[in-house]
Amino acid sequence: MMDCAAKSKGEVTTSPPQKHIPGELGIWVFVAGDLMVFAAFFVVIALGHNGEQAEIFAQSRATLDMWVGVLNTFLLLTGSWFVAKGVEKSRTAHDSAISRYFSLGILCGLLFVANKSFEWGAKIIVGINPMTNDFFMYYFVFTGIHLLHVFVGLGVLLLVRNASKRPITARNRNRTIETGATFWHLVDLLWIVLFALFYLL
Amino acid sequence: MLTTTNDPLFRKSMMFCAWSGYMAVIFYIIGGVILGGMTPPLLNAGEPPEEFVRKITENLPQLRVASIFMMISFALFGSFGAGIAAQTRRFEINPVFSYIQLVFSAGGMVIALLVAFSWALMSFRPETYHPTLVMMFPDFAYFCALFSVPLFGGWCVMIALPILLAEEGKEPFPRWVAYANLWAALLYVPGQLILFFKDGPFAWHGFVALWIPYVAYFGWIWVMSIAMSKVAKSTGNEPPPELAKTGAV
Amino acid sequence: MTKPQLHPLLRDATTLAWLILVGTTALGWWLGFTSHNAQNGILFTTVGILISAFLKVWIVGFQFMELKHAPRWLRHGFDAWVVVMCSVLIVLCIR
Repeated sequence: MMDCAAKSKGEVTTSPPQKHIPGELGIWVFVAGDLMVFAAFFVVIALGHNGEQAEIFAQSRATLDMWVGVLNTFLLLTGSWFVAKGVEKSRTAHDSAISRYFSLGILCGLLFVANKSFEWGAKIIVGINPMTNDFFMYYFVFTGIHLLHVFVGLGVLLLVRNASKRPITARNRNRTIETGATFWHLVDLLWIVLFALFYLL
Repeated sequence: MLTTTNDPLFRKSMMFCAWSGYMAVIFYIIGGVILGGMTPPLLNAGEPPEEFVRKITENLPQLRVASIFMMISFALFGSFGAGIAAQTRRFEINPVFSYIQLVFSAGGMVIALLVAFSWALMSFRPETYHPTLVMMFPDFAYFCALFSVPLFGGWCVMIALPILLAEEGKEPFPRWVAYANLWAALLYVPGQLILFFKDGPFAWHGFVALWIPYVAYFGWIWVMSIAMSKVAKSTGNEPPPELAKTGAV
Repeated sequence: MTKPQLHPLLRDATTLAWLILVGTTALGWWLGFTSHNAQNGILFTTVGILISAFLKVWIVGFQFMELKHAPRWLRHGFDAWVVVMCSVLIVLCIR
C-alpha cells in the first residue's frame, strides 16, 4: 500500500492516542499554577514599562545585550526541539539514540545556565545588581526564579533520560517521559515571555 | 493496617486531623488577618523603629488577642501534619517518608509557634524596650515564617515524593495532590528573598514575598485537609490488600 | 508516480514548529532593535513584539507540549491564557 511505502521511507514517529492528557493531570495542575504566578510577574513588569519609572526602565533595558537574550531563547527553543523529538521517538524505541535526544536537551539547558551566568557576571562586575533600580530588581529576581526552574528542569530531564532507556512497556515509563518533557517546555515558554518583556520592548 | 471501613477509630482520628487543618486556617484568619496585622501587614520593613513602636502601641489590645489566636492556629499544625503522615504510613511496608514527614511537621509547628511568640512579645511592653528591639520582634516573626522555605517547602516535597515514587494503585494520596504540593513549595520560594530587601515587593511586607507564600501556605493546608477528610470518609486512597495485611507499626 | 512531497524536514511538524519559532525570534529581535532606535512607530513595534512572543508561546504549547492531541478543555484553557495574557500586556504597554 502507498501508506506503508511512505511510512517506510520516512522515520517512524508516533503521536499519542487522540484526546490524551500529555503526561498526567497533575503536571498540568502545576503548569496552570506556574502560569498564574508568572502572569502576575509579567503584569508587574508591564506596569513598570509605562509607569512613573518608564524612563528608568527604558534606560536600564537598553543596557541589556539583546543578542545574549536571543542566544538564550535559541538555546531553550532548540533544547525543546530535542526533547520533543525524543518524546516522539521514545514511543517506539528505547536505544541510546533516543536518550541522546534528552542528553542534547540537557546540554542546551547547561549552555543556557552558562550564558546567563556570564551575562549576570558582566552586570554585577560593573555594579549593576538587584538594588540598582526597580527594573534590575525585577530583572534579577524574575529571571532568577526562572533560572531555578531551569535547574529543576535539568534534574527532571535526567529522570526523563533514564526513563527513556527502559523498555517501552515498562510501567509508567511513557508517563514519566511526557510529564518531564511538559515541565521542560514550560521552562522554555516562560523564558519566551520574559525575553520579550525584558530585552525587546 | 485495616481498611477504613473496619476501623472507625481511624476514621474519627483522620477527621480530627482534617479539622485541625480547617481550624488552623480559620484561627489564623481571625488572629493574623483580622486582628493581628500580620497579613495585610500593619508594619513596614523600611520604616524607622519609632514608627514600629507607634503603630504597635496604637494597636496593643488587638495584637495581644491576635497572638493567642495565632498560637492556637499554629499548634494545630502538629495534628494536621501528623494526619498526613499517618495516611502515608499506611502505604509503607517499612516506614521512611512517614517518619520524615513527622520530623518536618514538628519543625514547621515549632517555627510557627516562634512566630506567635514573637508577635506576643512585640506587644508585651513596647514602651519599655528600646525601639530597635521592638522592631526586631516582627523582623524575627516574618523571618521565621518566610525565610524558612527549605522547611515548609521541604515539607511539601516530603509529601509529594512518596506519592510520585509509589507504584500504581499504592499512592497515599491522588497524584495531583503531589503536584499541588510541589506547586505550593514553589510559591513559598519568594519568601527567601526578604533578607535582601527592606522595601518593595520582595521585602517581608511586600506583595510577592509576603502574600504569595502566605496564601499558598494556608491554601495548601485547606487542600490537604480536604484530602484527609476524604480518607476519613472512606473516599480517599486505600492501601491494596497486601499492604493492609501488615500489622506491624 | 507519487505526487511531489515537501522536504522531509518540513513534513515533520515538530521541526517545522522549531523553524517558525526561530524565525519569529529573529522577527522579535528586529522589532526590538528598531523600537530602541526609533522615535515613532513604537506602538507598532510594541504590539508586534508581544504578539510574536505569545505566538511562540502558543506554538510551544500546541506542538511541543502536544496540546494538539489533548482534550479540548485543556487546550482551550491554554489558548485562553495565551489570548488574555497577550491582550492584557498589550493594553498595559501601550497606555
